[in-house]
Amino acid sequence: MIKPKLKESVKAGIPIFVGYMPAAAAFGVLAKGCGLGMLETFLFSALVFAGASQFMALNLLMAGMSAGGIILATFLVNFRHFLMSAYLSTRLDHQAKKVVPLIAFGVTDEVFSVLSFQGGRLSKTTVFSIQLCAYSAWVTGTLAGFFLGGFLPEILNQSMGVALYALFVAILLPEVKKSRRALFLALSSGALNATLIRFQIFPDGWTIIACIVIVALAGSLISETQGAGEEA
Amino acid sequence: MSKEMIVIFGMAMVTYIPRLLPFLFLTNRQIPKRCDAFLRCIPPVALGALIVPGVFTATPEFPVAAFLGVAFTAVYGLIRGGIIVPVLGSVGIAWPDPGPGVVARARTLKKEYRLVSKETQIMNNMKTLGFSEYECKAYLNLLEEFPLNGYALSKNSGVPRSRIYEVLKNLIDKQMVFEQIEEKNRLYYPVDPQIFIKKIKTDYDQVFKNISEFAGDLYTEKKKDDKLVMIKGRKNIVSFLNLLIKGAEKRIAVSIWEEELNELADEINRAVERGVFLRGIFFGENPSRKDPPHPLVPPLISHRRVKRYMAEKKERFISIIIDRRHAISGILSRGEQSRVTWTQDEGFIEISEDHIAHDLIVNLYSASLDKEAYKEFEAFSDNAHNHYFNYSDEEFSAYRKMLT
Repeated sequence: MIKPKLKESVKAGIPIFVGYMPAAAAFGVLAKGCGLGMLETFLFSALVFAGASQFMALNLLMAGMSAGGIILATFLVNFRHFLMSAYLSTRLDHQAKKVVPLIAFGVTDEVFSVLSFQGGRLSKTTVFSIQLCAYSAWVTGTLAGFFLGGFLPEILNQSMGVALYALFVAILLPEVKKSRRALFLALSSGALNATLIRFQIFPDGWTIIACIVIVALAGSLISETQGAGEEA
Repeated sequence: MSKEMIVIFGMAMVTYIPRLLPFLFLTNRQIPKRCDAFLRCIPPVALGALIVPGVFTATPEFPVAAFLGVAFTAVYGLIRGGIIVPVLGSVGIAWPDPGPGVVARARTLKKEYRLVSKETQIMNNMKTLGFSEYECKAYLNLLEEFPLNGYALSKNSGVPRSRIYEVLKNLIDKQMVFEQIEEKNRLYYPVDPQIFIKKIKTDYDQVFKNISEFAGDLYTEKKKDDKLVMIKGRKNIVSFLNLLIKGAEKRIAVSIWEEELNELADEINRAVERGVFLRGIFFGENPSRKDPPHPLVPPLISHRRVKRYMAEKKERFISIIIDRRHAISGILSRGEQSRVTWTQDEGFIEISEDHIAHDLIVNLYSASLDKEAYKEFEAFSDNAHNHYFNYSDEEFSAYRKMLT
C-alpha cells in the first residue's frame, strides 16, 4: 500500500526538485555576493524556506533597510501561504493531522500546488515526500550556489526558470480538463492578478492575496448557484 | 546577534506562523459550507495567479524561450497528461541549445560594456574641455531625461544633493542648461548638444586665434637679431655677461674697469683656458704698481691716466664683444640703476670692435713714448679732443690741469 504511494509522491516531487535547484543556487550566489557568510546563507534557506521573500530580503538588506522593516515586508509577501494552508488543512488524513507543525513548515507555492491536486486525503507519506523533495533541493541548491557560484552557467538558471511555471501549468491542466469552473477561476484570477500588478494597486505581496480572496469568494458564490448542476 | 541573524529568525517566524495557524484552527473542525466552498476555490485561483503574469517574465532576456517551454507543457499535458515529462520537456524546449540565450546575453553584455566605456570616454573628453566630473554626469543624465528638478537629477546622476545646485549653476553659466521656474518648482532642461558644441567651438576658435597671433609674434621677435635689449641692474648685467662668456667659442674683446673685471675674471679665465682669444682695454690702477698684478693684464692693455679719465667721464663704462655675435655696452657704475644694451646687430658690433681697437692703438702708442715725447703726445691729444668736443676755455683749462 505505502510503496506505490511513496513512488508516486516522489515522482510528483521531482519537478519541484528540478525547478528549485537553480533558483536556490541563484539565491546562494546572490547571498554570497551580498557579503553573507556560509552559515547565514544556509540558515536563510533552511529556516525561512520561502523563495521570493528571501531574494527580496537580500535586496532590502543591501538597501540598508531596518530588520523590522524587512520582517514586516516578508510577512506581507508570505501571507498568501495562510490561504494555501487553510485549504490544505481540510485535506489531511487522520495520521497527517498529528504532525501539522511539521507539515506547515513546508507549505510553499509549489508544494501547495502539487499537493492540492493529489487525489483523496493527503497522507503523511505524500506530504513529507513532496516537501522533502522541495526542501532538500532548496537547501542543497543554496549551498551549491554559495560554493560553486561562478561556475554555474547563467543559461542554466534562465531555462530552469521556466520549470516552475511549467510545473504550475502541468498541475493545473488536468483540473481544467475536468472542470470548466477550474478553468474559469484560473483564467480570471490570472487576468485579475496581471491587471492588479500592471496598475500596482496593492503593495507587493498583497496583490496575490487580494486576487485569491476576490476570485475565490466570487467562485464560491457562483458555485452555490451553479455548482449543484455541475457536480451532478 | 548580528542584524542578518535577527532578520533570518524574524523572517522564519513571520513565514511559519501564517503557514501554521490555519492548520491549528481549521484541522479537526467542522467547516461551514460557505467557507468550504471558498477554500475549494483556492487551488485553481492560486495557480492562475501564480502563472500569470509571472510566466511572461520567467526568462527576461529571452521571453520566447519561456513561452515555447510552457506552450509545450500545455500541449503535452492536455494530450498525454503527467507532470514530469511536460516539466522537463519545457526546460528542454526553453534550452534547446544554449545558443540563443547565450548569444542574447553576450550581446546585452557587450552593449552594456560599450555604453559604459563610451560614457567614460566622453566624460574624459568633456573634462579636457574644462568640465568637472559632476558637471559631465549632471549634463549627460539631463540629456537622457528632462525636465527634472534638482533633487531628481541628483538621484539619477549620483551627484550629491549638497552639490547639485552649485553644479547646475555652473552649467547654466556655461549655457549648457537652462532653468524654468514653474510656481515653486525649478525645472532644468539641457541645451541641445549641437548648440553648446557650436558655442564652445566658436569660443575655442577665438582662443586659438589669440594664442597663435600672440605666440607667433613673440617667436618671430626673438629671431630678429637687430633688436636692442636693455638690461638693468648691475647684478643682472654681471650674471648675463657671465652667461655669454660661458658660451664664448673664439673671441672676447673688452673695454672694462677693474671692478667689473674682478667679477667676470673666473669665467673669462676659463674661456681663455679653453682657447678663447682675449683682447682689450683695462681701466684700473697701474698694474705695474700692484702686487701681484691683475692676472688678466696682459693680455689686456692698461688705459693711461685713469684718474683724469674718471674726472672727465665720471662713470665706469663697459663694452664687451663676444664671438662677434653679441655686443654689450653701457654704464656699470650706478649699482642697481646701471644699464647696458645687448645687441646682435652687425653695425653695433663693428663699431664696438673699432672703438676698442682705436683705444688700443692710442694707449699702446703712448706707452711706447719716452717722457718728453709722451708730454708732447698728451698735449697733442688734448688739442684733438678739444677740437672734437669743442670745450669752453674754462672746461679746457680744468681738463688740462688733470694732466699728470
